Amino acid sequence: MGMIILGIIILVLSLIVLFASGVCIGEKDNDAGIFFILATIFLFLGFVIYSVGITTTYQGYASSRSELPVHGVCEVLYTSPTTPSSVTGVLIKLPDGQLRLFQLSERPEIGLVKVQSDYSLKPFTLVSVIPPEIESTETVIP
Amino acid sequence: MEITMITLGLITLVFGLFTSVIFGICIGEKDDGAGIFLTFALVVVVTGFIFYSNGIAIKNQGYASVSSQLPVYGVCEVMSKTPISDNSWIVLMQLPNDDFRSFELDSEPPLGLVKVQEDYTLKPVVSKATEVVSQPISETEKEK
Repeated sequence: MGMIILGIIILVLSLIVLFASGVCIGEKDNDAGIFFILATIFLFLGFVIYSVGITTTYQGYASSRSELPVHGVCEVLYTSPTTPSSVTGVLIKLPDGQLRLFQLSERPEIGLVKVQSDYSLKPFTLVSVIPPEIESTETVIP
Repeated sequence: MEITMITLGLITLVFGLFTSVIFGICIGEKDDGAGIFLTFALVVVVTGFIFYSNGIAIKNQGYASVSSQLPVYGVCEVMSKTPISDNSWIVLMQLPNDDFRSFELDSEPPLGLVKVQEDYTLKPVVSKATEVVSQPISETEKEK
């Protein structure tokens, strides 16, 4: 939380200096150029601090269902037990192997699921079919 | 390329900053009409900033957080733990305010109620009620 406030303070201060130096440049004040460059650097710095702050503050909390990868096959690792608040915390392994926490209104079954285009989860079963051609090639090789 | 909220916000932000500097220079050159455009440019800056903040917050939400975000001295409940490598665990916790949050920890935590120590390590909470029950009744009577 502290990083967000620090970032916003630096941002606002450098924005004021940037604007003031812009006015000074318009008034043909030759010393204003250095303030203009400094303000731009501090603006960028404040922006980075703010971004890092807001990222760490919100990281880890449950994400909404619209962030689910559409048509991706995910693995539901854990669903929280039913609570009176009727929302379920669901830990999902994404197709890229990362774990992400979601907040869903219905409880999905643990195991492989496929995300539908309306962000609902449908159980996904792997159908392993061994084609008969493999057996025939094995017999041909020797 | 898919235009996300972050890129949209950044484009708006840079455009607003650029125009506010231009109109600032115009004010310095005694152009009286530039004031209203400057106000407009500042509104654009704030809009872009809000878009960017919202986008970056949503993008990282749900992914595991670092252990320094654990509430110090708070009693949390470890709901599940998943090993991802030799010394990192993705741990789903219920915070004291009932929110769920996932963390990436470098040691295996115990399941159930835990208390966060000052150095962000987790210590299992032993219920005091069981200790009181196991005490002999005669001892409590002697204290009286």
